[in-house]
Amino acid sequence: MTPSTPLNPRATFDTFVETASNRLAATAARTVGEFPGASYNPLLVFSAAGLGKTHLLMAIAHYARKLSRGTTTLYLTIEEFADAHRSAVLAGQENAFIRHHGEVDFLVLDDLHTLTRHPEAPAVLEAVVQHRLEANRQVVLGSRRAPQEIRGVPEVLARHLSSGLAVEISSPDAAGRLEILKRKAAEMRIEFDPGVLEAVAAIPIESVRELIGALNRLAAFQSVSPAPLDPTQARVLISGVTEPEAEFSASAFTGVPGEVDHQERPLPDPAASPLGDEFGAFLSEVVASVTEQVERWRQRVGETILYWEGEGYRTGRLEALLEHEVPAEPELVLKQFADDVARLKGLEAEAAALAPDLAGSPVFRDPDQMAAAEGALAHSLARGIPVPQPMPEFLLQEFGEGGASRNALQAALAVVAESGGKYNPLIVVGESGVGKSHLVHGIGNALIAAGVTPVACLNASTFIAEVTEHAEGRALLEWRLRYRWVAAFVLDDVHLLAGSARAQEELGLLFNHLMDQRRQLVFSSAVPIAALRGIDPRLLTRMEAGLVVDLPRPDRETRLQIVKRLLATTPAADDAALADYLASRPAENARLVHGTVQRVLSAAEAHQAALSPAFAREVLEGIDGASVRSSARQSGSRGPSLAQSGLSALRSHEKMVLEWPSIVDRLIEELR
Amino acid sequence: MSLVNFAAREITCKLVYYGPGRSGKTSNLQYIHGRVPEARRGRMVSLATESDRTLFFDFLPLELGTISGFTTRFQLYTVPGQVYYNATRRLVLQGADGVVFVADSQARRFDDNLESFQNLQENLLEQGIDVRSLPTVLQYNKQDLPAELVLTPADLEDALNFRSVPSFSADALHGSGVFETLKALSALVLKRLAAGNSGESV
Repeated sequence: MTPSTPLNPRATFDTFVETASNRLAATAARTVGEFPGASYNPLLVFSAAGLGKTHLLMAIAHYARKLSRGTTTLYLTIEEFADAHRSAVLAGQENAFIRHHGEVDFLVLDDLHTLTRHPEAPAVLEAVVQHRLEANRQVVLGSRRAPQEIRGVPEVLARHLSSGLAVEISSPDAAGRLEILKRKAAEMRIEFDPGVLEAVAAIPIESVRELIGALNRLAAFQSVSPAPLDPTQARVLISGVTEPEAEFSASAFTGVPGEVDHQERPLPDPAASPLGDEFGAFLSEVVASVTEQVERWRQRVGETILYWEGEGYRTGRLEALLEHEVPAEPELVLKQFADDVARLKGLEAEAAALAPDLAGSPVFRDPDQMAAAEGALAHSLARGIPVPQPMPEFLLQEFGEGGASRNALQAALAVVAESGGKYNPLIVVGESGVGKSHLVHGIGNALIAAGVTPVACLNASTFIAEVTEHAEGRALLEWRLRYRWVAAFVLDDVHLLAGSARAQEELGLLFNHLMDQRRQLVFSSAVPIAALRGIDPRLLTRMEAGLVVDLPRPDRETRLQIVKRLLATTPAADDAALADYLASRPAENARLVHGTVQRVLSAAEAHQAALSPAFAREVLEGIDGASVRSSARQSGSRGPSLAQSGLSALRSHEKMVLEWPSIVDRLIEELR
Repeated sequence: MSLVNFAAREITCKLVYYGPGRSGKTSNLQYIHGRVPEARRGRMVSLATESDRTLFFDFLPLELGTISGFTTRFQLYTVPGQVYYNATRRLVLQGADGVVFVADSQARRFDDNLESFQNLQENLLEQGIDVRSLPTVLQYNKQDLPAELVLTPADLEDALNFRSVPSFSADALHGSGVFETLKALSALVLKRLAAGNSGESV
């Protein structure tokens, strides 16, 4: 609908100088601002040009907004009102136009005296005013003529006008002019000698605007004069009488010696020029122009405040800006504010996608409270779908540390100690079964334990499946949001992404976002990064920018650590010979070490035999079966039928699954 | 060169008077200089030959005082109008915020005006300045000469002012039109500076 004309941010009651000539109008205006629709409705303020009528109308709108933040105000000139009406008629929206102008809380229309220039305007204004008065909504009008002097006002509208209050602002008297001059001089932070302003106030200048122009002229001359103006000089300057010997003329020239007087004809005597004090007039214009341009930032800030207030955002930061003198970089402040609002909008959209009740929440309306908005979004995410968690059984402290794995483990611990900092992303590369999953899930668990939450931890195959499942639309947005706010993202077996362009694309987006937010990224790959095929080179480059650590096959020291951990909860926990024997068994990766130990443990359980190096040797190498059987007999118990079949069964060529309650306990072994 | 420096609270504008030789550029500056009362008059630097033709350039700095908290300076320059001083003209034009083109209204100088105006545009383009974006004002000087010797402002307007920039009739020697020209250019320049088109911090 019709946009309001931007209000001059300086046109407030605070800057309105009350004098005897405008006090009644100012009082009525304040009353209307405080009690809209309840007292003087409509209020018509009329005066000649330049006496502060428009200032007062805008002050009412400012005041109403200040008293009640939700108040909607519409300030238009009659010409703008008529133009908007014409546009509405052309669009077939006349009824909507009348309804809109009838329902806004405050309608302020200036230049009512121009009503008859627009043939269709009187009737539509009458309809709007009628609509508003019936609903007790405030109407404020400004005019250069008294209501009875405005021709072409429809009868009903004239009656309405006469039922409200019409107040006139007249030209200020000498005392009023002096009050205005003093107030404006104080605002400009310019001091004049005693008697100067009084001398100017004595000049019968009828328009306040002209009076302020005269003050600008005084200020300009004084700023470049060696001595302050005296009352006589001021009076001469403003009343337009040229004083040839005036010492207050402006400009200082500086330069190097060597002036060359080379005119063909003699220069005219400045004092004798019929053109008067041209330089003074020039300077006065420059002062006005500079002031206007320099102060334009205030207007921009004011307009920006109104715009964002209209959009529902708090503008405390900008309002504070107006309290100061010229800021160092006003444009930067405005741009930063706009950027912050854009950020708030983004946060609100993301939060609303997860929790629709957050749409329009005040927490997303204050650019100075960005942390609160981010907190609200984080909260909404916490309410949303949980991200995949690291498997709890994989703990860093249980990771077999040996000479071969020490580097990788140290890198993992560094990531936990400084999440998102030193090693980001961390890529763990190693053959299948060497413990990559243990390490990266362990990092995830350690981060959670350190308070870095939430942590998303999943396998690349799961990631691909999720991307496929949430292919587009809102589902895709929500799926993305799940991961955009994690504190750490762990992706196991990233090499599985090869060939899946869509998943790589999503990972690339997520990668960039998380890195920008300094969140931790951890990947594992069974294939060295440089040897990965079918992965977008941009993604590879980003990964290689982090720390790539190799997790080699477990050496004997590492295997011993694994074995000791696995035996820790068995009766043979302290059997160093058994641990040493099991660690000495060849195993290319940690998974095989697990398998070896599990075989021995399972056989011991099946035969109810005591764990010992000899028993283990018998199980693993088929040596000294009699002693094993003897050991079983000594135990005096009988095992299940499978176990009763003896080691011959264990040495059969069948494939057996003993048990797999979780991934670490999975054992698929080809038994011989 | 020019800037509205919010941090240093300074406004500096460089205005250049351009035109053919003897068209009245120096007269403009001298008149402006002359309007300043004796007690406040400094020195105008004018590097010229003995035959009073500008050899290098005239320079008139105007310290306009503190306006709205900004120390405001105008620096007025003229260029040597003679054809063979083009290098100097280019030098003076560097960093200009606005140009007054002072045309000699005498009919016999018509071609000189066109040539100089063309030269101005060439020199600006050479410095990568779009002549359409540089604040420019035309001054038709010597309109005080007998009518049979000069072209009317309308004639000159047709020949030179195809961009419809502000233009003024003038008699620079006696001051008519001098300050009107300066005021018009100043307003254009200040407006442009504050709009952030000066190319420096605004």
